[in-house]
Amino acid sequence: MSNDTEHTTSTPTAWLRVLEWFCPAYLYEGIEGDLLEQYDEDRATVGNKTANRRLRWNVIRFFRPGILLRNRFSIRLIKGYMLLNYFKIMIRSMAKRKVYSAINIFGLTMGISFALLIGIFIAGELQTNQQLTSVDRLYLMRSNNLEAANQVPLFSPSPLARLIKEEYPTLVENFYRCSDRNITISKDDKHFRVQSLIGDSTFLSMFGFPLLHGNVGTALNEPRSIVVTAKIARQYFDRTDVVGEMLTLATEKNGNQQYTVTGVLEDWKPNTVTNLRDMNAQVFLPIHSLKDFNGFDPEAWTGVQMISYIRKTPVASEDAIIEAFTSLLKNKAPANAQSNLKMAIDGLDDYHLVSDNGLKKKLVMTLSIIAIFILLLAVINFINITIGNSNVRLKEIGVRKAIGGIREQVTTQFLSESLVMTFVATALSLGLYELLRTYAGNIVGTSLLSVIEFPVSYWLFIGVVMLATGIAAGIYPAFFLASYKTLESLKGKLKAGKGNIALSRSLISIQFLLAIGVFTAAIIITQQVSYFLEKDLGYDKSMVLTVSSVPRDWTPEGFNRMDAAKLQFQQVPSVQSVSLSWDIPNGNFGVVAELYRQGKQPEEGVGMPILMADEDYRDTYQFNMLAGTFFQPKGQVQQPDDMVINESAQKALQVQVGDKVQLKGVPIAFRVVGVMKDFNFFSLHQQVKPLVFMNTRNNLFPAFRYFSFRLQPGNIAQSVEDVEQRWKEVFPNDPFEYAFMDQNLEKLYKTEIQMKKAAGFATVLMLLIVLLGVLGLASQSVTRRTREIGIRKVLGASVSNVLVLIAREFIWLITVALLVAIPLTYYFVEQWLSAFAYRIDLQWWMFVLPGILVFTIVLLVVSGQSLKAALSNPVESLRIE
Amino acid sequence: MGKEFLGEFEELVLTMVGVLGEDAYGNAIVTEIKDRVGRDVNLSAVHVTLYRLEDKGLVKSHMGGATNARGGRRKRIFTITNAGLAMLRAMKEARMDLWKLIPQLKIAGG
Repeated sequence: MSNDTEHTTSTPTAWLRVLEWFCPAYLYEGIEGDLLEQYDEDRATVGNKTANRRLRWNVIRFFRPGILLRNRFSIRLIKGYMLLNYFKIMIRSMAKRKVYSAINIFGLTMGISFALLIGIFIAGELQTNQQLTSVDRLYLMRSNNLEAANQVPLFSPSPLARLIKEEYPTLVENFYRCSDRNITISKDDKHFRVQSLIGDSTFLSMFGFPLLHGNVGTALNEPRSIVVTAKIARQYFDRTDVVGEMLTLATEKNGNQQYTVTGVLEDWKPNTVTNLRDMNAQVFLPIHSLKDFNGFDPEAWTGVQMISYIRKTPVASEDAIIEAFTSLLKNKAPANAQSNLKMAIDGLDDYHLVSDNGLKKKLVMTLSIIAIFILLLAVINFINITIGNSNVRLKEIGVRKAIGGIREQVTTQFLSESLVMTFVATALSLGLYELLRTYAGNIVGTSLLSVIEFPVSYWLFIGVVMLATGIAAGIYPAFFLASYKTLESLKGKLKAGKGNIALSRSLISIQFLLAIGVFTAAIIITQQVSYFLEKDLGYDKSMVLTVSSVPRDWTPEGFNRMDAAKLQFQQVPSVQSVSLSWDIPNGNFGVVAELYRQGKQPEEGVGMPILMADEDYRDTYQFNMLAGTFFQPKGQVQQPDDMVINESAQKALQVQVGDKVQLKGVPIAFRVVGVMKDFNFFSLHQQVKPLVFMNTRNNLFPAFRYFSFRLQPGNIAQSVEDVEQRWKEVFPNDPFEYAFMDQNLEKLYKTEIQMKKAAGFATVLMLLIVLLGVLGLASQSVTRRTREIGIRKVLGASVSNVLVLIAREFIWLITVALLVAIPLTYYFVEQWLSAFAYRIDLQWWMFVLPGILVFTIVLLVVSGQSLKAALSNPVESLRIE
Repeated sequence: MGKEFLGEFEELVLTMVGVLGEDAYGNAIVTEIKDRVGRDVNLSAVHVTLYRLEDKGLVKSHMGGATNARGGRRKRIFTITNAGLAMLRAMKEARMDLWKLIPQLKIAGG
């Protein structure tokens, strides 16, 4: 540019570029010229080096407000009146094509509503336990016994938690130990069985449970004090400020006792402490109450097991705590208590999600994936319909561009359209959410927050999802439409866009794929759940009524009273047989022990559950015996050392009827009197395992919890009423809390049943969205080919020819989707099913049926759309110009 | 001249624009001030002042012709406007009026 090569070679142009960057363009040349002139002069007089320095310094000095503020900040803002115009045009074009607009908004609303329901559910699940005071430092202790399975991991030797706090104050700050008990609590004529926790006085302060009434520090200090939830307070007193009131508790060791209410808890969201294993504890007793119920000393080592929580100090590491446990067990515990015991701790902050092999986590993940799928489906519909419809808007775009609209403006216009649509859909979704939340809450087994109760963070999240959906739905059509050349768009002709049709097709194939996949999964989950509920378990579960509110008086008098009660119940005509037991086949069991045949070494013992029942148990549940009898025949004197074992136990112990069996660490020997055929006493997630029955009147641990009634076939409601009537006469002070065996079993498969319902719901929703998409696409393709159809008809095509013409492209797409869906779904459901010991076999129809169904429905919709075109007079369609 | 006032440096620069006539641009003004008043002023200060004077309507500017010097960059030539001249004149007169009010030293004696 310059002839004056003298300085262009050596000028520090970098500095001038800095100047150019902050200096307003219209001033730049004059300033730069002055600087260069000065620079040349300086070089002549004071030399290059100084000249350079002076130039730099001068440039820096130009960085001043007098120069900077002369910049005209030119950000291209889209003017308000343009936005108003966009909005107006949008409303007009939506009104012009009502069906498509409705499909778009409806689809988006469906997708967002479902995502919202699932999102709120997941948020609730993730927040479980988060209200507990410093939950990141709370741990549940777990004990593993390396040698035998006789340790229930949830229960730990009770002195451990206290000892670690006392011996290692730098590691552990606080502890809470508890024992769960189901207690009959009475006030005047109100009797209810209430789940309780008996434990340390640290309960309130350690977890930060807020009290409505009462003193957090002292509420659980005094013996025979009781803290109740607001729900229980209302149940007994119809109000919540009940501190000082008395409640009567039916204790197991000391008969009826008066307890004083010392605190009322706010009703709290489910958390791992009060709702461990879904126990839903409602009343809390001080540790002294162990004397009234369990009858053990929490500071003794042997035989005492409690659920134990600890809170570590901020500096302690988990490893250090486990080491401390190991050395405590070694140094403080008596030799027989510490054998092979190894402690572990599970953090409470994610316990809810990861316990039970991450069952909840799996549910949360599955649901999130389904929600994303459904949202994706809606977004795909939106993209397909917008692109398919774009020829209508092309002229508008052409005009906009011709009169000076720039590309970014067109992009903004279409993006803002999709954002507005998403906004409307979100608003509708919130309404729909409010309508559906009770129903959906029932499916997943929690209550979902009302929209009014959403915290700010939820709204932020909803905002983010809304923006993301709007942008995802709008970005491709926006850029695609804006990129059209002005002239072409003015002509209003959509380029024979192979790319677009390919995109639309692959998007709709993805829709088919997802819909067929979820449909198949739903069928298989449903099949597995019905298999769970209908499989022959080896006993007859129908018509069995179980009552859990049996007064727990385990003294000989208590047993005699139960015998009398049984006779009373036998007289009810609709009762076929009645049995008293500690266990019912609902997946729970109380005692595990190691057994070995008499004469063998205790070390050869095999761990197995010990169940307790009376001699009528077999008549009530109707399982088969391989050999011997189920205890002594009815009417004869029962022997406390009789034992009945199942087939697996017989194999494991290698015993016959008449052999003697010993429990590890117990001096009494038991005599095998019968061998049962294996049956599924526990959940079908596991194989049948060895188990043994002791008589409820054994000498080791005589106890009972349940009455089981086998009812005569007939009017069940009447039968239940008869039993209840008799119950009230026999046990006037105890509630009648019953469940049918089928219901108990359903609880066992709760998560699977939830999944089944959610998958069914999702399938319906997805099919609906896919149908909407197909409807939109089919009618577009019919419109696009109106003339083609006309010509074909003129040339002699029949109506069915035309139908095939339109349907062909969808048939092809579904076939492709089905071919991809089958192996994918197969892989995932196989993974899911492999977790169950008893599972259905996958059959070909489970994969083909969804395909055929989707196929048929799509075909119907497409035919409906194309029939109109096929039937119309070709003269009409050809006249359109 | 209403409420418009000029600062001392502004007045100096404005005067120099008047003095240099058709040859008034940033560097020339810096050099002129150095030569005539013996004051070292910074180029950027002069530029900012010139633009401010232009905002006030006391000078106007145009781009000069291209030269081979200055790396081919054109000069932004400032010329004083009538308003600028009037302002200078008004200021000078106001100062003279004030000057007259200072008690003059009387020569003593007969």
